[in-house]
Amino acid sequence: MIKSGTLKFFFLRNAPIQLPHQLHWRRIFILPTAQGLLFIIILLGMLIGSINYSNNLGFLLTFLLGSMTFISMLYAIRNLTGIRIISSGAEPVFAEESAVFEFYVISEKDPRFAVTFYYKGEKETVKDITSDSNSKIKVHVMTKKRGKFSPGSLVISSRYPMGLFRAWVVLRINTACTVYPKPLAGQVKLGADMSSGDDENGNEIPGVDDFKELRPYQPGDPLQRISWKAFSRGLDLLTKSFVGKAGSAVFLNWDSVTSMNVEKKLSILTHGILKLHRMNQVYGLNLPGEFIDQGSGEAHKHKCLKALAMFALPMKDYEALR
Amino acid sequence: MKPYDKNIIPIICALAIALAPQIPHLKPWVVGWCILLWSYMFLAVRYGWAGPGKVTRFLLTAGGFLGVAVSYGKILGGGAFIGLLAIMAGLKPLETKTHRDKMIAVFIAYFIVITSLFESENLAITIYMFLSVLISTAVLIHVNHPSGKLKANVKQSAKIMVQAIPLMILLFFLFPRLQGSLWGLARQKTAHTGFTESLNMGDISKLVHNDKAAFRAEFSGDLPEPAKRYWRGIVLWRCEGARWHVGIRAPQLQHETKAAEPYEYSVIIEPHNKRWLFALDLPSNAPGRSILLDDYSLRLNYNLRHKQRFNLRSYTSYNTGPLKPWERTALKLPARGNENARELALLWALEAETDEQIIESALNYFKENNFLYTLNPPLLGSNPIDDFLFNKKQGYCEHFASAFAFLMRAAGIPARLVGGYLGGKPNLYGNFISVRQSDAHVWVEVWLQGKGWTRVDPTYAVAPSRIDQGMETAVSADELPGFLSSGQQGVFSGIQEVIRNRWEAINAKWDSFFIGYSYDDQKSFLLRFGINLETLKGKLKSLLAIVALIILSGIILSLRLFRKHHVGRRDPVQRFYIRFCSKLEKAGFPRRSDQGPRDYAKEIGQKKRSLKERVDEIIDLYIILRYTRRGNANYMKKYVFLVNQFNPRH
Repeated sequence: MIKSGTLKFFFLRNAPIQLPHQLHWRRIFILPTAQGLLFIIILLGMLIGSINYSNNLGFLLTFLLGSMTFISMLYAIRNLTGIRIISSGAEPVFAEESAVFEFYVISEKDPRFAVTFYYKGEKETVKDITSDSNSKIKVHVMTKKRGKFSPGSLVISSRYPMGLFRAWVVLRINTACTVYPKPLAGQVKLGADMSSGDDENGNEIPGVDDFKELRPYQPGDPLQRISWKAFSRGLDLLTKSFVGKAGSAVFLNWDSVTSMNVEKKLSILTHGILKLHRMNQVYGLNLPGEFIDQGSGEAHKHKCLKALAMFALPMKDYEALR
Repeated sequence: MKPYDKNIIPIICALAIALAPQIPHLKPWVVGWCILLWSYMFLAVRYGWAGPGKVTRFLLTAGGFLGVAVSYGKILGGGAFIGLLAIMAGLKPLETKTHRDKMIAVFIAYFIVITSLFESENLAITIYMFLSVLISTAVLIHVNHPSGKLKANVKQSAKIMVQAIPLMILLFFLFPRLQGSLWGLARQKTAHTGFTESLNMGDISKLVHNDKAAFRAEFSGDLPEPAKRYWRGIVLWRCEGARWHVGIRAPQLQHETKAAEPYEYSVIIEPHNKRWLFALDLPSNAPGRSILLDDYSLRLNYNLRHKQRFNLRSYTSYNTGPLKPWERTALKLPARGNENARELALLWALEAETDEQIIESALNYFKENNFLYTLNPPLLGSNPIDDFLFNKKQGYCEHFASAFAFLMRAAGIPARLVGGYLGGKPNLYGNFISVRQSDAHVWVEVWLQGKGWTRVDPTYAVAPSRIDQGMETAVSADELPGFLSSGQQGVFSGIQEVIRNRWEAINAKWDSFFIGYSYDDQKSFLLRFGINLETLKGKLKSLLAIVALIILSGIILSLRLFRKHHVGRRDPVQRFYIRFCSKLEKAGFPRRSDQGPRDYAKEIGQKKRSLKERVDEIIDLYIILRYTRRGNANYMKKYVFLVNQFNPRH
């Protein structure tokens, strides 16, 4: 067990950190920026000039600027210390879109200025950090493929106040984002309900085609089916229920896509789900080893898309997402 | 192309503020250049213009540099360098689009500030320097934090600056100074006023129009009385008729002169780019890197380019002893010319029994023949001494002095001309005398048997008030330059006088503290701490001390900057609660910011049963102490004890 913070820093600096996390100055690196180096060279020039002409005011200014440079270094470190990362999270995205990781970051003490957040090689986000509980930092990362996406090391850096030094920390934060397969238009043969294969006689399946009745609202009912007219007349929340004809409730089957490529298949199925969702269809998903019963609505859509995202990926990744 | 962003405007302001004190040293077209380009930038930002292209910018740059080369006659050194910087300051905003450009533009502003310090070294420019650095730094912060408010950026800049000042002072006093310069000094072609190696008639009366300070003398005891304030600068030996020259260089003084009642004082001399120092009447020591010559003039080993302080000791009554062989040159005259004057001097010499009588005759001649002491003497003919003595009879101190010395030499009395200053204004608030260029004066020293070199001031014969009351009373009022005329009497000029005296007194303090600080001062300052700068070990020690002090000040500041919790410093209940929470946090039970003390205690109780009892006890006490009126000293004692004892790992 490593107890001392400094030792911990040396041995475990690449270990993922748990949130909430408060930045400590021991984790902060600092180096002069290119302009900082240039400025130091200018200061040396000023010093040599002052020595040569033994100009006391020249000395005074050189030492003033030199001292300010030194103090700005301390300020640069301070501008990161005490930043508290409370939580992080990301909405699912489709592959090859950029995932947006939202960090809830505050500074309980004085505000921190012009703090830059980025994942290596990605777009930077610059923001002031205050004790304001609504300050969310959105950091973008490009995703490549479906599955569970871990963004790697987050860099938090700052050149405040004078731009002569850049202080930074590299943090591996345990956070992830679900990446759905990239939608791809393609041929899908929509299969009928398999569990009730002999429904040809017109058994009613909850569907979307014909209005049947108004029933009491249950949590989870799609918003667009709430009878707002009835509600405005002073009645309770009622949900319009519809019946579909047999066969109009559909299943997206693994085998119904003709493509041989697994990723391509998943992409086409993704497209299918999005399309069915748009059409307010009731649909289910039938994948090898994963069966999602018929349903509709946002939650259902995401459940299906997540199943596609995680299809045939190692279990531990899947677990990590729950 | 991208249009300019509005952050250019503060950068231009920083450049303008940095450049302002240089305006008198710049050619008018350079000032115009900056104003023109900056105005263009204001409009470009206002109306979203993209600015000139690469080619135009290149042409402008080349044109500006060429302009400097042509109008200054060179590209580096002296005024041309500042001109060049100003050209760059004008151009830089035009090509400032990236963050890097902006940073560099501010660096240029800092650099301009330092050049203005090389032009003058007074307190006013020092204060201005701090202001300029404050603004430039605020702009630099703004460049790095564009969304920040102006006031906040200025405040941050001031904060950094104030915290830098102790470190700056440490470095200033401890950083090892050199005695000389690193390499040959670039020849500065700034026009310094003052004395030159030779003296022509009319030189001094020109100086009178100059209001600039020449030097300041700070006395540790009483000030010398007005009639004794003769400040020796150069001694002129060779007479060339109308012109006097230093001539042969006097040897170094061998024996220290001893006399009664020395004056201990220090002079702070404005840079005059020459080698002489100014000292009261008869100096007896050679300060710093200077030597005392046999004619009691002080010579530096270098040209005085910066304000410097010299500690001196002088006598006003003395006997320099017998005439040395080399001093016989004080009898030489040009082979011919000014025959009437020679004749007159010979006549006096024949009539007189002692040298004193000859001097008397000469001074009486000035007194009795309606000589006029004037700032605007008429031009003199080919035999200038004759012309002055017998025709024009109008002149300033140098006319009287050189004619008198000529007469003395013609009469066989060794005589030399001394150039320096006479008088000066004592300050109302400090024990010092300020001497200005307008106090310049020339007098004569003659060698007399049994007395040695003795001062004779022929000006006294025609304008006695010049000696003890200053120049203002000696010449007619309409001849005086504006700054000397005492036209505006009354309350206002009284207040002005008070302010001027105060300001000079502050300046004197500043000069002796900062500007005059030199290698010698540093040496004696460090010797008090047992560090001898003469030895290598001492030099290393001083460097070590600097490093140690920088680190120490860094630590002190860090303790301030990284102080953990501002809250609870005055509230012990809260302070111990924070300590309690941080103990738990270290053990792996951080308190979420949405958790009150009860929820927090509950969560810990669930997570680690063994802690439950102890945590509940502390939390109960905390709630009583913080939120109820039941709290008392006993509860507090117990609470503090429990928190201190608390160890979540057991």
